[in-house]
Amino acid sequence: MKLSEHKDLKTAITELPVKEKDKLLLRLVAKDKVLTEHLHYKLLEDESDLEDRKERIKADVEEQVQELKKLNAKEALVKVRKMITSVNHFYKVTKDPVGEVELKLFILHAIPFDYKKSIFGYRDFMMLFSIYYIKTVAVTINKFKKLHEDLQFDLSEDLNHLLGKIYSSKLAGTAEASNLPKEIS
Amino acid sequence: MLTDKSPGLKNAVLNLPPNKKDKLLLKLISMDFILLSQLKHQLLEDDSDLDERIGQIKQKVG
Repeated sequence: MKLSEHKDLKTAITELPVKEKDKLLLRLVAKDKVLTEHLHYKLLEDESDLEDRKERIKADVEEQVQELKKLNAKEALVKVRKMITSVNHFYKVTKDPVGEVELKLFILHAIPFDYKKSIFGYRDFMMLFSIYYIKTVAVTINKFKKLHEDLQFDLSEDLNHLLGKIYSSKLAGTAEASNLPKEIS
Repeated sequence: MLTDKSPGLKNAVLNLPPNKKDKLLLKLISMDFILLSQLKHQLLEDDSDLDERIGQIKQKVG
């Protein structure tokens, strides 16, 4: 059943007493953690809170990068996925597409390409890491292209720097195989 | 619960313009199939609809 197909139900809900609607609304909002955080951000926070959110993610990434160097590719992949997930959460809460691209570029820049060899399955996990990494770059480029031109301009240097780094690293092969551009104009 | 953790947020939500609150409420209700069916039953149906629902289930079982 879809609410859009039941106009009479929609009207009946809208015509409920305000008190009942408020109670229902608060109950439903509380059930959804991301929505709750989004409303908190939208209704109670300002520009400086947005910067705080970004800085917290960056500081967290910087701290974890030190740890990454001691791990094998399998362990590192788990951590990197979590970092990207934290940015996806940031976007769900703030709906800030510029911050999302900025933070993802920051993470993609910060994480190393070399990991300890584990005794078992190193190659496979290094390959999985590379594929995940290049896919994340490609997704970020697509988001970048959807930004307003002026905002693209501010981030393009960072992005091209990253592409240059990838193509002069051991990930160049995976990048080329995935048709990742060498430069963004 | 939202209201215990942040009374500020509770008030901010309640103080949204009524049309925005309605829009948000309808969006959230439409995402919850069971709640939607419940409200339909509560607000729009009567005893004959209830009998019909009972009959439908009996038919499925029998």
